Amino acid sequence: LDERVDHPVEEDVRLMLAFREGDEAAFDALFGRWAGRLLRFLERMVGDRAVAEELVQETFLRVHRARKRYTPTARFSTWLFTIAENAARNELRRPFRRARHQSVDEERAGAPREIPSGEPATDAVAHARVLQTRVAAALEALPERQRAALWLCAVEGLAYAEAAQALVTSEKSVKALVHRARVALAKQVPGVHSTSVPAARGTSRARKGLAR
Amino acid sequence: MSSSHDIQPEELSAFLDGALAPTREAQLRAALAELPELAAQLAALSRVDDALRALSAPEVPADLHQRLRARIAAAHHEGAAVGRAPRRCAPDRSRRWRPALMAVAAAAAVLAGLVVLTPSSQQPEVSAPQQMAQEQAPHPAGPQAAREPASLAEIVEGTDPGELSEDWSTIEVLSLLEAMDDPEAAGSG
Repeated sequence: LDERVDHPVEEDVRLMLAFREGDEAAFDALFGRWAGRLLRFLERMVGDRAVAEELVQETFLRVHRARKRYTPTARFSTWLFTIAENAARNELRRPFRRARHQSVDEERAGAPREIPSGEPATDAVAHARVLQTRVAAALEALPERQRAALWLCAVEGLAYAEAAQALVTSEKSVKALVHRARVALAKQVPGVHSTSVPAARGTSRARKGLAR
Repeated sequence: MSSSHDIQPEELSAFLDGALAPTREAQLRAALAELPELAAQLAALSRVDDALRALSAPEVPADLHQRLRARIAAAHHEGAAVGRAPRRCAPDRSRRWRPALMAVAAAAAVLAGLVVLTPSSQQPEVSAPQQMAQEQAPHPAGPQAAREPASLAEIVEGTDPGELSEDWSTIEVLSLLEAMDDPEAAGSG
């Protein structure tokens, strides 16, 4: 469940320190490890694939430029998402934003409008697509900071303190943003009544260990 | 009994995010066992996370890394000008270095062509003056340090007014600005 399992923290730090000392291959390795997740985050933030790709490049450009100032005081992912969030915010603040090319979900998840008749789409598949599109649209409709906070905490697994750093705000504010965003999206996700208690993502102690 | 626990709605989210203190988490679990309504609320919030994680993820285009490398090389040659926002890229410093950079850039442009055309080469060509022009003086590291210098207006505009009142004090904004201005000042040394 936890996506950090395949992203050992120490490896990112090791690579970043190697890059700081001039090892360009380490930078390339970091790009390989993180570009996909950055792209996913940025696409959700700006709602446009091409712009998100630009911002992934911009984020890594800044990493490249700021390498000498890197110290492993924070998890590498926190540092990276801080830069990425900043890039997304600048993009969203631009007075004349580029026109959106194509909605992420029209293209990918398959718009719910019609499922090609030849496709053996079961009810479950069709239902999942409709749900995806609704969730994506609701996510996009959220205020930018709620969207970023929710994504960073619920999907990327940043601790509140880490997300607070990325959003330049307090933990208390992140907690409120994440909850408001979840409540708003919950209205779009139909309830299947379940009585079991969902698993928490680990105790705060376990998370502190991961944040080392 | 569980009513004495007084679970706040936000704590349900904090539970999902693993942000509750262990004792509080235990109290919440006890409350959930007693209050089906609370458990249903939590389940609804948890489904949001499942739905978000199930969203399709984009594939990284095969040439994205190459495009990045080309931009890094270009940025080196322009001398610290990065991205689409050249106005925010330390104008003083780059102006001071401009004559030297122009000369170096011309030579480096030739090298850049070689670098880009040679797939095995990952090392961008950096000449000493350029590197010096780009280096910023030692600066307290951390995420803040990686930010571009920004105007106060930008910082404030970048914040939801709703949150501004709650969590942002003028002092925080000013200290952030100071931190951002710092590399500029230090760069003159």
